[in-house]
Amino acid sequence: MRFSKKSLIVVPALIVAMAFVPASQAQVNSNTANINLTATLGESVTVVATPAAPITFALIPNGTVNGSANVSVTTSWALAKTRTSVKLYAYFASVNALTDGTGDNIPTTNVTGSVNGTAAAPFTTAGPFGANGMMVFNQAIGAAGTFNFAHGPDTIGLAINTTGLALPAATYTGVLNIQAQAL
Amino acid sequence: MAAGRGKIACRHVRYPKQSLQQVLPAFRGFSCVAGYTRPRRLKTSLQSGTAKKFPSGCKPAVLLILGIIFALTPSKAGAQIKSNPGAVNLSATLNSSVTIKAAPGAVTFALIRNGVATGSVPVSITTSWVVPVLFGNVTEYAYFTSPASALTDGGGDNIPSGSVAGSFNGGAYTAFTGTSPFAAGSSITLFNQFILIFFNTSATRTDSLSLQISTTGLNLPAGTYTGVLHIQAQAN
Repeated sequence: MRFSKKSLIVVPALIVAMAFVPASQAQVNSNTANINLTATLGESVTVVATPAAPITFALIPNGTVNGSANVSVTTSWALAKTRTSVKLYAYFASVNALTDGTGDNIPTTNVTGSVNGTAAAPFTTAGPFGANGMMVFNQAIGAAGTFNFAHGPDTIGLAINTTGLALPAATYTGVLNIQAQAL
Repeated sequence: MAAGRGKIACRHVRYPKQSLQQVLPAFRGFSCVAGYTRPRRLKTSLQSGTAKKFPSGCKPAVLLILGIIFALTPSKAGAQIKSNPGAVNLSATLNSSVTIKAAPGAVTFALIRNGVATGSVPVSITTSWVVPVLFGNVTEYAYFTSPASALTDGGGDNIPSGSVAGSFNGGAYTAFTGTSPFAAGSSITLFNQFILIFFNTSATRTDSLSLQISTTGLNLPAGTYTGVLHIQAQAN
């Protein structure tokens, strides 16, 4: 009777144990399926400038006023390793930076920009995008990591000098363009 | 077997004393089989010499009766006689195989400068196996041969396997940083299928694998990066 009770426990236990003991066998490897991956990173240069809202100037009849806010520019790029530099420009499309739309204008010579707190300069420098601009930076690239990079933020402090313009009272508007070029 | 038969027969038959000497020849013929033991009662009767001879005309009748008795008396072993075992060697080979088919054979990515790009299409993987085992596992892996350069532009700029991730059957994306029998640090385990005899030692399943590449922090130059993703299974 004692043996029978033991058997009821031991025999099933042995069966279970045998069932879960892996058979001695060799590993079988499958063939290898290959998936070719091609990832393309195209060249790009991206400029993001803030604020989105207009920068305002409270002009005075004969003097210089600063803009309500500095322009903040972040320039990022992914470039081929054949590139050597990235240059950022701020410019106006024409010699008249701002206008009241009725023939009264503020020329680029009377608008200045101060890049990252440096001395202000008028937007009168010729560049790849016109003759009414200024260079914000000229970044050489070539070292590891510089082909994919984010520069900035760089700040441009704007000012308008109305001295000698004899402007009528009015609202003057214009657009400052900021653009980069990779060489 | 024959010896046992004679012994049992003698034990159950009652013989008249006067007939033993006539019966003896028949018993002797029977006892020639190895292992025969003469019944004690029979031996005593023969030694005493008191048995009387059968009349010559009765001899065939007695033998006939005894023959009938022998024939009708049940024997423990019956008529079973087993021969030596004849061994026939059988050899049946079922080759183990695990086969993988994956399509399409190419996946493209439009990378962004600093972010995640998803592959153009998911990879469909069909896995078939024939495994003559009682039980075990089929485990499938996807892997790159090198953790440092899953994809490369060939000019020293690489996308490590840690920046490539796979989503198996719509699950969460997992970076190729795991270990497998085929590549350490650049694998992911797709599935681990338990095999049980009679149920799925031979089976086929189809799965999908979506891929992503993250360029975050890699500072990759613009270019075309190529690599090969391997898919392989192992049964054990």
